[in-house]
Amino acid sequence: MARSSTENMITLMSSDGEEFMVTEKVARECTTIRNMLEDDCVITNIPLPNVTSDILSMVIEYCMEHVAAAEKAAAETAEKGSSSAPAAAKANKDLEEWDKAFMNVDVYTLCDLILAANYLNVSGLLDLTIQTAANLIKGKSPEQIRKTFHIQNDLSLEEEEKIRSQTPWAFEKSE
Amino acid sequence: MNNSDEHRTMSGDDPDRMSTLPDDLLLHIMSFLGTKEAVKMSFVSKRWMHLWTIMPCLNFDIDEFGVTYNNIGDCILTHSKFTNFVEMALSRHKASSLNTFQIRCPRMLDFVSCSDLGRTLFKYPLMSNARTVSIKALIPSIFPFSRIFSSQSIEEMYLKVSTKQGNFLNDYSEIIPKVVNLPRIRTLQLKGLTAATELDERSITRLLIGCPVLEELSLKYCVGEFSSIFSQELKYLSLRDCFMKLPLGRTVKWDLYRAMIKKNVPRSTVGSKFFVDGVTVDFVWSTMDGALSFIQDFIQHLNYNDFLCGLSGVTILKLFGGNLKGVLEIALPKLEGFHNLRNLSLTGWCTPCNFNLVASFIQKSPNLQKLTFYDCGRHCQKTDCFSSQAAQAAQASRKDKIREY
Repeated sequence: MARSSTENMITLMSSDGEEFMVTEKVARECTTIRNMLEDDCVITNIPLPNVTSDILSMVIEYCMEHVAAAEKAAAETAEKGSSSAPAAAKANKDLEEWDKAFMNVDVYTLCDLILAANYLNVSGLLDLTIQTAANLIKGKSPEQIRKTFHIQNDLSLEEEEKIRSQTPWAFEKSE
Repeated sequence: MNNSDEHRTMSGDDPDRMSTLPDDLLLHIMSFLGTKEAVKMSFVSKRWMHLWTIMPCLNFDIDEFGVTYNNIGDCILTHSKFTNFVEMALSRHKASSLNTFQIRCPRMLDFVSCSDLGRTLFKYPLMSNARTVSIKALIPSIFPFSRIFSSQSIEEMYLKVSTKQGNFLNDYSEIIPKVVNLPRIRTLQLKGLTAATELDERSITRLLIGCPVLEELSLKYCVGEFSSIFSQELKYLSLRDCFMKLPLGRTVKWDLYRAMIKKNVPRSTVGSKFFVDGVTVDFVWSTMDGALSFIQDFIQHLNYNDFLCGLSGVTILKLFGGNLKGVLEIALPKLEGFHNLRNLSLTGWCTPCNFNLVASFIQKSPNLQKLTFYDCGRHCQKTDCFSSQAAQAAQASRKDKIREY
């Protein structure tokens, strides 16, 4: 999508000092940045000390894709006067597919994305990442969950015994 | 980039990033899990051991326990396990504010082994200031429902309380308690209130006064005896399969619908069954012999004309059943029109034979945009009358604004 030269560009700086130039529209997808821009409209350079460049580039990728999709839908609506339901449904499905592919990451990155989405307040990305994490837990045994997320079992025998006595059903073979 | 991340993860000591997330994010993840799965997380590590006890959403669902209804022994065992689990979880959970409290168990909870649960079930959402409460379970009516009708926090409530008939009727006569105080509630759904829990005009009035900002009220499978409902705020009312007991010799006026016209209520669904003197008549459909003459009596009784006149303000109207024909033949000619009606759906009519009625409906609805037929013409043998009457109806219909299915 061609960007007009009049569009404001914002520089986002990651914790490791890398700079990312994005349009104001993309930056505004992050509620945290939007609030900063609304408080101080001349700001063009925003340091983000909590987000590494790897993760920041992914967040920007997500925001750009979603801004582009929204612009495309708006343009179609303006062209035809009203959006046609099948086209809108297809666009939604495409975006869902894109999200799904975007979530094909390891759990380490996933956790970093959750933190970044939370810090930058990108609600769509937060929902997506949280849901993905929950799906990784669903239907798994505690041992499988530990393996998935590289969690060390630091429960003492007494603690395990205590939980075991409180929730005996959890030790039955699942169907 | 993904590759480099993977590389980093694999080459390191497999760091546990997940456990470093703050509580609120982990709780957010857990809110997408059923309560059983969330509790199961306590086996994973120290970090997760107590987290579930401060979860803001409790969602108990018997389906999480893989219930089957094929084998009665298994079924009883599963219900007993589920009940024990709910009781254990409620005794250890300690969040001071809940967003959601949900329990779904369509069969009987095992109150024999957990006699306190009935009390806790209604007390817990109140103690924890739950905003959305959904209790869909078979619960003996001796348990104190009434508590749940006094809450400063509840905004949405869904109660499907199938009290077991014959067994628990002694103490409890109506679902709407003497004191109703739900100052924040906007949506209320009550389903399956049996003969033990009758609604009458006083109780429904009490309910509406106690819920000053109620916008949506849905009653399903309720037994009731009331003739009018008044509310300033109500935007949506649905009565489905309710048995309305009408006292003989009394003229009933549906003032609610008049109120709705003034308020310009956007939606209204009416599909009630009426219940007169021990005989069930669905004004919507009936297979009884001589139903039509009965319905005619019934119309005089109910003052049907008033009822349909009252509906003249609706924008969406759904009518169910075959014998509505008799009702409409009498009532329609007297009606002036449905000026706001945009969406009409007719279910289970013998449509081809009733095209005159449909046509006059259309004539009386100048702003109708959508007309839908469901399950039509099943019992109709006189299909030959279809074409001429269809033509008539088409003439009467306004241009191409109307779509027929």
